[in-house]
Amino acid sequence: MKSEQAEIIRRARAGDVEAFRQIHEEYGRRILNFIYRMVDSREDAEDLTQNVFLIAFHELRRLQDAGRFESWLYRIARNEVYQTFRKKRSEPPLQDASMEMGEGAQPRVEPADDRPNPQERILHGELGSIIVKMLQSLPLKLREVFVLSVIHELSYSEISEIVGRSLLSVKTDIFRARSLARRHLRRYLEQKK
Amino acid sequence: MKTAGNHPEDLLSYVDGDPSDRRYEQIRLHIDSCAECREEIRLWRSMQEMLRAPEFEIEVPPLQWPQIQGRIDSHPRGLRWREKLAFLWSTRWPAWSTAFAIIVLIAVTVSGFNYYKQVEADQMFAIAIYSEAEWLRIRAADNPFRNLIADSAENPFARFQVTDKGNPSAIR
Repeated sequence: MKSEQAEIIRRARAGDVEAFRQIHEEYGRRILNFIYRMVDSREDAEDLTQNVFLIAFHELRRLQDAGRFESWLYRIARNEVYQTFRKKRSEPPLQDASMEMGEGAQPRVEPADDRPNPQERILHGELGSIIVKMLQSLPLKLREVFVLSVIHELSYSEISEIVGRSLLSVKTDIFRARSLARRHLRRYLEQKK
Repeated sequence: MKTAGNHPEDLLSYVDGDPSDRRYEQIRLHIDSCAECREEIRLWRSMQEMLRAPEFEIEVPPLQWPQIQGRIDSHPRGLRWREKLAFLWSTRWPAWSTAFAIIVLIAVTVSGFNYYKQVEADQMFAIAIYSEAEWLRIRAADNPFRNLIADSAENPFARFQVTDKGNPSAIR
């Protein structure tokens, strides 16, 4: 870790909000995208990212080694994701909207401009939706190590620290996830030849 | 060494550039001479490139930081009791935490034992007072049943002899 970053973390630990803003600038996008890949909902990902940074601000003083800040932040994000899944599992399933609509009921009015922006068009394009489907098909245990390793380029030891599993178990899960992902993306990979 | 065909997982540390694998160098040399493994690695790397493409990432909304700051301002950071006592379960001080737990355990045990002893002494004192009062009542001169009570088998104080004149003799 660069000394400049360590200094920012030290200042944020002392309660400097401006230093914490710099931390958000540095890690916000990565945490947001990690959560997005896990929960597959932009709205939930944005809410959870806010929670992650709020928790990080309040708990930063308890972090003993500033060098492990990134893993620590990812661990908070992972806990938030798991908590959301637990909450969702305990919530009663929503009723189908069409069931609720009686006779004479007005259909839901869509917002005036519901067209996706260019970024969303790419995300919802064919390859984008295949990637989303591929991630959704992976069990949570495999999905988290796959996202951290393949997309976020974290080292095995960092991933092992984040998910709290042994290095060997992490390596095995990454391999299994990669093999499953490759099966899903085979057609696109062959096109790239 | 037939890595790609038999054990494709062996290529993982090479693809991820993890030199901590003891066989890293051996695998690297093998890849130089094996077209099948090179192809396998190319596929894995192109999958990585595809997934890491920035167009598949979402942007941080511009209002996110102001919202976080607003929440920080509305919940200023203060020491909670859990943080004040954090040193007790801090991994840095396991010996202190253990010593504290042992002291608490000893204190609880000693105070519990003392309390038990005190309750027992109070009970004994109450029995003694009751015995004394009962004895005085039996031997009272105006008690016409004093002999009956004193001789009764149900009388817990039967071991005391009461004479005709109502004077107790010594304990048998």
